[in-house]
Amino acid sequence: MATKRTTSKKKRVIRKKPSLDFSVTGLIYCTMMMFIGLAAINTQANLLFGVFGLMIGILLVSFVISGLVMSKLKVERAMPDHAIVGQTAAVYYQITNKKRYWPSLSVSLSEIDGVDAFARQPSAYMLHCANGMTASVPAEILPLRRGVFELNHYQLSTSFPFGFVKRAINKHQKDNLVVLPAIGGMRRELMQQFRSAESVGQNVRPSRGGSDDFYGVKEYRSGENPRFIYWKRSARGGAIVMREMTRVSPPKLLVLIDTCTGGDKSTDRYVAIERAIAMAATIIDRAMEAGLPIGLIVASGDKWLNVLPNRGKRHRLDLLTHLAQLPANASQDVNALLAIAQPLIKSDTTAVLISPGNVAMSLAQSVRGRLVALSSKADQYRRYFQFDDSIDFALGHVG
Amino acid sequence: MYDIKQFRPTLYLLLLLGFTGYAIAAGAPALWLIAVSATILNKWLFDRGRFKPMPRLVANLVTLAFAALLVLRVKQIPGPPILAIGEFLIFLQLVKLFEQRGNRDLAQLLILSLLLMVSAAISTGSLLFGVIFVVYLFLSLYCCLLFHLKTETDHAKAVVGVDERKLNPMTLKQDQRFLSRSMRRLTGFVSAVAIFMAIFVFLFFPRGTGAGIIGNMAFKPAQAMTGFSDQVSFQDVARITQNEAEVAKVAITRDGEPFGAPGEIIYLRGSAPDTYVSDPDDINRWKWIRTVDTNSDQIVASRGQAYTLNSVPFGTVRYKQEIRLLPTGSDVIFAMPGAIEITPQRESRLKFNPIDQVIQLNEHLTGELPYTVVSTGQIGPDEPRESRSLADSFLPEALRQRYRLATPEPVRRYPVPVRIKEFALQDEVAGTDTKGNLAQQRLGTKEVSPLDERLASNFETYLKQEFLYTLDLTDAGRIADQDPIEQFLYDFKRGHCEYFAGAMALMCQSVGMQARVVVGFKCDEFNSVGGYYIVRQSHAHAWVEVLTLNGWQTFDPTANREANPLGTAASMWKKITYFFDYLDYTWGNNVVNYDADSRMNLIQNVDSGLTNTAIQTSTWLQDMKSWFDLQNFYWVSSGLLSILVVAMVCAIAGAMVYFMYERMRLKKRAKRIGLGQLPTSDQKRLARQLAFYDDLIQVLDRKQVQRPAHLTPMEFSQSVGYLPNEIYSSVQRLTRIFYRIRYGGQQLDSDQQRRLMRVVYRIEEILQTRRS
Repeated sequence: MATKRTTSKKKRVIRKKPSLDFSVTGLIYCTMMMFIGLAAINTQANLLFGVFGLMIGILLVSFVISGLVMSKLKVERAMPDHAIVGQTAAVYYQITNKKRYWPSLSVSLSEIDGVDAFARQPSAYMLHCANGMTASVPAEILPLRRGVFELNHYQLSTSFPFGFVKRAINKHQKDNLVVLPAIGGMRRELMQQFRSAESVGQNVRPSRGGSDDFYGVKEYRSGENPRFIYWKRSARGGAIVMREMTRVSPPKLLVLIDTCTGGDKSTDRYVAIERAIAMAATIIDRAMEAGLPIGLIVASGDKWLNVLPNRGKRHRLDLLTHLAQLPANASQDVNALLAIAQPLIKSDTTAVLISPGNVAMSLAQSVRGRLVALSSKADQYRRYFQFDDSIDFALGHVG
Repeated sequence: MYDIKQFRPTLYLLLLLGFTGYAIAAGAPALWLIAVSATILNKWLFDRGRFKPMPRLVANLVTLAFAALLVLRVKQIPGPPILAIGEFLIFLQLVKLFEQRGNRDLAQLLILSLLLMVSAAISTGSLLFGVIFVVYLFLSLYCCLLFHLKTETDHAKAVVGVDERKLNPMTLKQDQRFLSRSMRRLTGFVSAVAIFMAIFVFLFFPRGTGAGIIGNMAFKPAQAMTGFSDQVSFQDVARITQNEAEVAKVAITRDGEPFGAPGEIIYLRGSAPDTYVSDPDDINRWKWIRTVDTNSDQIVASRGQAYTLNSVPFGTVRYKQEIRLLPTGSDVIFAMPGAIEITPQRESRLKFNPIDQVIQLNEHLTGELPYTVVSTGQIGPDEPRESRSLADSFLPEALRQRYRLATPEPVRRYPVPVRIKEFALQDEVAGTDTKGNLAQQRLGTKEVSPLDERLASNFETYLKQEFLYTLDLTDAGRIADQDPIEQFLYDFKRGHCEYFAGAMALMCQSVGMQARVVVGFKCDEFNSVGGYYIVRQSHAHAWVEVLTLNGWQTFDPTANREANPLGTAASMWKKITYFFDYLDYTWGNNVVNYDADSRMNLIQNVDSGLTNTAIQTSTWLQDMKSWFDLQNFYWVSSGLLSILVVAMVCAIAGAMVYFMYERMRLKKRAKRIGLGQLPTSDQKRLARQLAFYDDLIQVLDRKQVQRPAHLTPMEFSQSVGYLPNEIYSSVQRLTRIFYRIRYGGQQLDSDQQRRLMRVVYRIEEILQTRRS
């Protein structure tokens, strides 16, 4: 039975301190101060009057210094390029103390906006920043769900020097953080299945960039490995040229993700879709590592997102970013997806269809297109994939 | 995250200071030794990594045991329990030291240490403690700041949970380099504000009101004095050891002029027992007691108010004594003979007996008592001549009416032992004149006789010349049930001051004279640095007062008990001691004894000072106003206007010159940097921004490192590889910044410019150091 979506969403309490507050330590201190004052009045011991005055002075100076510590602090948030669901990342804060003489000590920094996306409120602690200096402090974040999150308001707080008085100021700086879908482990057999196109001879087409056979020559550019300079040809031509060798082109991979809810608004369906996206992200990550060109076809709202197979870190990040921002799809079902993908599934391409439900494929589809179908259902995905138990896919969808 | 390494040593130092302060206040060196040893052991264990916290159960049991001990101590020791609580606090700290696991234990240690110092501050007012206390307070502020940082850092480590490897090494380096400096600055600021407030509250907080509202919890119990006793008994036959403990400090002025010199003796009267008794039922069988009618005591009280005790004619020499009396264990108040007026500086109830001129407290002195007495230096002829004597146990009715006293109950008479009378009647003791033995002549008279002064003088001289002074009577075996004064006169012929005074007073009384023993202090130790007498237990003394026609005269029959000849030429060590004693005295007078009157005086002084300033300013303004009459106004205003115009012209001219100079300087700099071909506005902007590079080139040029015209700045920076590494990398860095500004359009703010200039100065310093 499908559970309601709202049950898995917990209301997080965001710790936002008032701009000026008195701590329990401060109250205890005041009680002690009163006690000393009473002792001084009772005994008329002059040293105790001195101590009483000293304690009043310390209380006053606590107000002054806590304000001083927080003044003229310039904070810049440095975001990571991206974060991944279930993996920690660090947000750095460059805190510059613009004061001429006074240092800033013991300043805590907490994010206020976009906190729901993380396992705990991102917080950093700056022990010390001398006058005119900059300190860089990290805050560890553990994203809970994929998407693009905006971090804007944050709070600086301190209870320095004695912990009696707490001061806080709010600042803002708009930054976006792309949280990529969870990337888990994948069984090697699946990768071998993807590479099955290699075993078919006509699919292997040599391309340059390897070290197998002679491919051609090209002009030498500074920085290239001088081992490959083709000296004979260079001597003949008068310009330095170098050899280019061939490499075997690996088979291409085309990932097809079925994100259609099909009118089912249950949590299980959303979880299955999210898991499908995480499986796709895992395949992209592993296949990129293995050097396979990868493309992606998925319904993005009413439109189709169609990314041709390619390689490289940039391409990987582009694909994962697309997955991070993928919205739910209510109309484009798996048949539509296959219809769109069909023209792109060529002889050197292996298509991987990931669907939240069971996929019923015709024999023709299976044989002609070399289609690998994977289901993200709870009882099936574990055959090939493994995700960290702490990842809750119910939190993962973008509403 | 940076570890607060400074905290632990500071905490140990703070604890040691606390132990030391308490040991000074309570006079407990053994406790200090235990506490310090345990602290050092704890530190040693920590440093060696061998420390293992005591189990909580054991710690709790030990604490309970100490609490039980505290209860027992409080029950055993009469008086305020503050010192027993202090001991308990020390033991608690030691338990915490060996139990410490986390910041909570450290916080408890800090609080316990502070409470210990507070309990010590209640118990003492000594200068040494005061100095330690001030140092302790500064250190505790520093320690609290460090502790707060430590707790926050530990909390951040636990909550923020950042991997140590993700921390910026530059930030950690900055912490290591500048944290101590920052802490010093903040501690200085905190200390300055806190001390200002402490002084303010100390000076202006109302005093007196509310004293004792929760009972007396202060002061250590009065220490019985071994030197002075208000009773003179002769029961103990033992060696009396000199006690050098201080009793009082006495600053004297004579008719307004400072009085006193090394070796000059002063007598401070205490009690005046007038009757020698022998009570076989009493343990102290032979003793001098004071039988004066105490119903005649006048109660004087309140603080800061002068009470007239006696009236003297105008023109009489007056000795004003400012006395700080430490707890004596008795109720006697000391003053020079002939007290006229007394002003207690603390709330205290004083009794004054006009008959024997004895001043007493209503209860035993438990704390330090400052007071001021004005005396004539001798009990003059105006005093009642018909005071109690052995012959007359009752006051004459005339005297009784004079002092409005009730008729006393008859008291038991004690006859003078016969053998003492016989001794006094001897010719060589009493002296003779043409009519025969003086004592024999005196026997027939009841009233005060002209012979009394001569007789007393003869007794005094005889005792001084024929008897020996000693504090060691252990070898003089006393015969049981025999009068010690008789033994002194007939057998031993030696003794201490009480024997001499007792014998003389008895001899006088035996021939019908009125005499009494006076116990107090005979002091000759004068602190020339501070200008006051230091009264010690060893100065305790007894002498005799005899009623003569000139009033009560002081006679000191004790042999060989004169001023210390060394007193006239104090050694260097003595001078140093006096100096520290003077500091202690000043501390006591100005800090420990600061009271409501001092506060009122200060407020009045501040008030009058402000009023005077206001009046002076107002007068000055009035003068100015009157000077600015119509004629002067035009003259002055036109003059001022002219000055203003000239000043403005000068300022404009100066600004123009400065502007031109700046422009020229920027132009030259632009040319030096190679910006000559740029538009003027860009030249000026870049010349301002690239001042650091120009300075760098000039600094290098001064050190014969010149940039050839054909080298670009980057090529030049790469060509100076022969310079020290630090300079080479700095030059490269500055050149890269130069490129970013010159070609990348980057702008530097003033802070960044200042920092780059600092780098250039640093390069110059290094080059100069290398050269030298």
